[in-house]
Amino acid sequence: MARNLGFLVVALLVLASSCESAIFSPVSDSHRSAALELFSPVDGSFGSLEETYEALKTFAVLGIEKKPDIRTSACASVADILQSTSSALKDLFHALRVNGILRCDLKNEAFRDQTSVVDVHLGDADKIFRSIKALSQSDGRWRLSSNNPESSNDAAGIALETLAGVISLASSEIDHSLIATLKNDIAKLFDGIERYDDGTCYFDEKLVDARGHHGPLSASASVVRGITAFAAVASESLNLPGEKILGLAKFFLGIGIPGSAKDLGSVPLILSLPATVLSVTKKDQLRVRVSTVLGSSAPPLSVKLMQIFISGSKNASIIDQKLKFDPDNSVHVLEKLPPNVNVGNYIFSFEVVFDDPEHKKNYVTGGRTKVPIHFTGIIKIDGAEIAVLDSDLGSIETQKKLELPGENAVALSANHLQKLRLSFQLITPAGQAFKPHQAFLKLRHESGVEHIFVVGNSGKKFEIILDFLGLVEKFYYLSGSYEIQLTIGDSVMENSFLQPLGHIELDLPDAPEKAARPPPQPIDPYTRYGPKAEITHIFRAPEKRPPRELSLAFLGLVLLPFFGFLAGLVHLRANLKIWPKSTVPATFAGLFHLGIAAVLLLYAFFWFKTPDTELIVGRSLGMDILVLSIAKQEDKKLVLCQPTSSFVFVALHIAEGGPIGPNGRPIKESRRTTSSTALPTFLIYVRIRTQKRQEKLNTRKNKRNPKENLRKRKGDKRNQDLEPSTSRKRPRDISKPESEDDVENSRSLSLEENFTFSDTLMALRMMRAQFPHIEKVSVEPFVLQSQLYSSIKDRTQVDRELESLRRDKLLRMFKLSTGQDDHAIMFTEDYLNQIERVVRRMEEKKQNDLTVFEWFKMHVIKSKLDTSISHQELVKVRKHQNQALLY
Amino acid sequence: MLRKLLWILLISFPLFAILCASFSEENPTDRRVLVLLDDFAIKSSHSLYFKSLESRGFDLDFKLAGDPKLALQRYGQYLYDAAILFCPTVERFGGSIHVASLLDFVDSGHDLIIAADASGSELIRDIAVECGVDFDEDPAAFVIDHTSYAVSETEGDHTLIASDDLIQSEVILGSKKIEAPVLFKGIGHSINPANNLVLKVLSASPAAYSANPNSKLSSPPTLTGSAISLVSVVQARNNARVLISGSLSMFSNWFFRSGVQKAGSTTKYEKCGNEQFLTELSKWVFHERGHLKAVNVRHHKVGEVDEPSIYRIKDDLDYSVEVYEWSGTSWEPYVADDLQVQFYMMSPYVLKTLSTDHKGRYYTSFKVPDVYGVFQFKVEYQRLGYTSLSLSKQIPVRPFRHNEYERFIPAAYPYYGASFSMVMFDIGFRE
Repeated sequence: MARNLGFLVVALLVLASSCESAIFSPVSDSHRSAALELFSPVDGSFGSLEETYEALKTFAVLGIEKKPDIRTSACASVADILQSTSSALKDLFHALRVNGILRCDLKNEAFRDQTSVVDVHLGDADKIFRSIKALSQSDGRWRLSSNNPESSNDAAGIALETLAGVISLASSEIDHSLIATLKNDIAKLFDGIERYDDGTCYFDEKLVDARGHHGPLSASASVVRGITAFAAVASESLNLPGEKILGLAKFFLGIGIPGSAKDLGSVPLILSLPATVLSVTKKDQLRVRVSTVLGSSAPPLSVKLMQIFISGSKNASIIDQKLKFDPDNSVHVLEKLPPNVNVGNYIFSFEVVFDDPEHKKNYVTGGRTKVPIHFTGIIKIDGAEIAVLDSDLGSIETQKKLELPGENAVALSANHLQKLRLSFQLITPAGQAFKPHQAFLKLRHESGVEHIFVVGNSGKKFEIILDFLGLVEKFYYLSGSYEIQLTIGDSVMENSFLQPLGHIELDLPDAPEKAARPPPQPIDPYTRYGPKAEITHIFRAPEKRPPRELSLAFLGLVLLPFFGFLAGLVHLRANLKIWPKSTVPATFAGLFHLGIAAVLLLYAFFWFKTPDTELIVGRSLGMDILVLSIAKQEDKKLVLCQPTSSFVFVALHIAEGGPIGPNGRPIKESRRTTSSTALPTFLIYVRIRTQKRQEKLNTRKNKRNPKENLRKRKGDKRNQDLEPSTSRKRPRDISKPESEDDVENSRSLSLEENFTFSDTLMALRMMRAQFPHIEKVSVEPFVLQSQLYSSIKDRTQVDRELESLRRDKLLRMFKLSTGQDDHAIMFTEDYLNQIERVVRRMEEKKQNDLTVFEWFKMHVIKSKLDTSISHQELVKVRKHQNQALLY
Repeated sequence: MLRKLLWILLISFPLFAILCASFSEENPTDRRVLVLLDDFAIKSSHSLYFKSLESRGFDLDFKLAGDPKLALQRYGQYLYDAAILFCPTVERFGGSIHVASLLDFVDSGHDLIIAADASGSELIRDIAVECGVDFDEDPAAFVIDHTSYAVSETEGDHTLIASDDLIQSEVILGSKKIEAPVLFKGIGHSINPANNLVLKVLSASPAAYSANPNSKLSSPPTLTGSAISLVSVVQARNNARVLISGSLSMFSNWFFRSGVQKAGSTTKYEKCGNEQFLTELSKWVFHERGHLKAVNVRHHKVGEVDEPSIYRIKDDLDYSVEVYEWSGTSWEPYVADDLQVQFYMMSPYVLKTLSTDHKGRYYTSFKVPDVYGVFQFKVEYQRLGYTSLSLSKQIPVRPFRHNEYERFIPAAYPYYGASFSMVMFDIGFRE
């Protein structure tokens, strides 16, 4: 019940209106349309019967006639629930409540069945009553249950409602003394009511219980519902204090719950003003409306203006003026404002007097009502002028009259030895001086730096004198044009304005070195983004070459002697008589000439760009390259080129067409390694290095026992698989010899029977041995990483060794929540023991789900070595395992 | 102590974590929002705003700000994708939420909506300061504007402001223009000029100032004029978005439904712009607009299809990229004409605007500059309101190989001829 109530309260709350204003208006059409909008049915019905009830109740309370047509659908579901025999009690409850509002035509027999459920009479009502009553407290509040000592207003409301129910169900009359005490309690409860300055009353709730905190709204609503229910069944007057009922009504109106307080015994009347901002210039009339909470008209009465306070001061002028009733609009009008009311903020105090004293019994008016009222008006600005003064004498150099409000464009200039004076007067329509809340003079430099000054007043006159000498530093020594802006505004000034007055040219001294820089100005967000100017690359201009024709002409010229020579030869009848006749010299001569011809041919091939020959030519240039071409086929002979390897590399590089740097070394290109022809180059490179290392290693290895060596080789492959790709940029082949070395180290470390321990492992074992063994605490030893760091000098070494030990599954690292880089180190076996222990303890406590530990041990610990594991990874592990099971 | 430590160790294995992430390009529709309230009454008094979120598919989880069971994450996974703080008066959050954890929440790419109010708490101010926004230090201060207040018959102190100084950005405020002024009543803030991640979305008029309306002003107020921001948004470098408003009531049903008439103007609007403004803004904050993604970055030589591993200087190349914008339900092609690509090594050598086919694909072609080295194709796209696109792809550029130069230079023909004839002379004379 209480839940539903809370829900209703919350649902009604959305009608919130004028929360922060101190004027309460009765429920109006705006509330009703808001309610209609909030409770708009989806597809002709509300979601549940509970929501339907809330909507219908709201409509009923607010008196909304034009309901959305949900009757058919709601009735159908009500009938459904009432007819089915298996409905839950809660559904029945809601169905009956909805029915209570809608009055659906239900089949009689169906309804009769169910009414028997409701038709219960309490035999020993007195006893129940007493037991509930036992929860009440001396201050009128109630406890929620007998074993909870805290009392709350919310509980009081629930208790009252329950008691009302008990009374109504009781077969015999309840003892009168009980009801009397209850009435007493209610009176006490009202003593504890909280109140705001404006006469609003509410029940506060301090208790936060299991269902969460109930705000004052919920508590007040609960109490009101309880009392209403009680008043209905007890059929007695409760004699509640009138102003408190009104206060409650105002409270609910303030946050938008009307109607709740109407049945508390007497009807509260709400005094409201349609407008509290009144213009003196336009001669607005002060109107007061008196009505009930739901906006229906009040009995004949008259409203009196009793007092006027000037807000902000305690002075009050006492007036006893009756407002004239205007029957057409049913408002009370204050025809003539009291003479001392001027532009400004006032608090008016009204009193409602009934024409018929009989009404006093049925209606609550709550004495005097204070309403803040703003009188606004147009303020006249007089004698506005701006002047530049000479500093020492105070003599006026330039003076300009200003028209305010209006367009002004003065142009002044001043240096740092002068002053700027601005003065004006503000006069209210009644001819009095006026002091606005906002009177700012703003000087704005071209660069956007702004300076604001408050214009002070002395008596009637507003005046500000800016002595630039004292302001130089504040102005950041920025000379130049300053825009002058004047802002005058007040909440009661109808013609508040912001006017540019013109500009002043300031000539300030240069800034000393230590002077403060002007603050950065915000950059316009629209210009901050946007496309950049395009950039096109300017290519290097090609070399200047003579025209083709010229080159050809010179070629002809150059070749001319050759043709002349040929012609000469023909002319001289040249022959080959010198060619040796005997076999041996002829052979050699032939070979010699063939050789030359071959070289020339090669050059010809080279020139005309036949790719294969190009290489041959290139390679025949040097001996090393010949060796290389052999090496390309037979890897074993590669060692041969060791001494001149760098040269080979360069040579091949050239042969490849790769670029050569200025120092004769090839420029490395990262993708080069993938090209197939370049691979041999690297092989050579690598092999040479390997050779050297191998020698070194051999000398070292000989000292170790051969069995271990063997094991190491086996381990090699596995470790390589485990090794993730490191960030090393060299290709795998190159890093191989080194990583071999690393792996070897870590292998030897991980094996306990080995003679060489790493420092880290030693330290870990020592610390583990020192771990305190406390009887009752069953924690396996662990070591903090910081401990390790502090005991071993080389932190990098520690990190490296820890990493390899972790990979060997000898250790496990844990992240501690004490700090960002706090890690604990535990030996894996200890960790497993620890899990065992936890499992055992859980077994003792007869807890199930122990398989998860087994599963964790089987599948997770082995494969996941990191400090944490994400959900996805776990799911993946799980999936793998399932797949493995499937196959 | 030790036992405690051990439990911490064991707990550090998140066995049953709940999947949850920030706005992710893989499953952007899965969005849970934590709503922290001062009082559950706000749930009802601001129901229109919440309803608009719920109708767009957000799963709102309402909690009291002091709830001792509050938690943003469990087992290292965030339980929510976004948070709404409608709790201007809370002094301390309950549970495991505090300023640092909220900032971590944003740092990991989650969105946040903060509504402060006059007499707001230090806590909310602290969060705002971390987001680059400074609220007025005077707790009693309101933004007052005597020239552009909302005309009302009952509100006389001009703290209910009707502002229409909105940011000009379709992506933030939607393509439909907000006609009616936006009602605001609350505290103003300023943004640090050096911070270019914060944007003023709704700013006050030049005549506004932030002060206590009930006390006389003796010194100039710290916040005046259009420097006062009423509503600001932050887009962090990780594309997390934060909305900071100085008024909680501007989200309320009352403001959503009330009409507005700005002082000095005769047009009276039936409905103020709050609903449209805040709904559109929430669409932006929750990445239903302005979230870009770039896919299919391709480049190749003109006339080829495969991406080369290296370019030679003076190669002609084609570059293309596809950009899509999240529309709340699907990825739509993003159409703009100012996407630019840079060919970059230390500084851009080529900067070119991409042409588009209006279906999301952007392309251009240019000649590789005659400078060799390791270049990058860079697309740095930052526009007002859009998430920033930052793509870079490294590509080396090599010079000509020795055999890629011109084979025979005409200018050298005389030399070739000379050496040739020379050789021939030699042979001829020898014989």
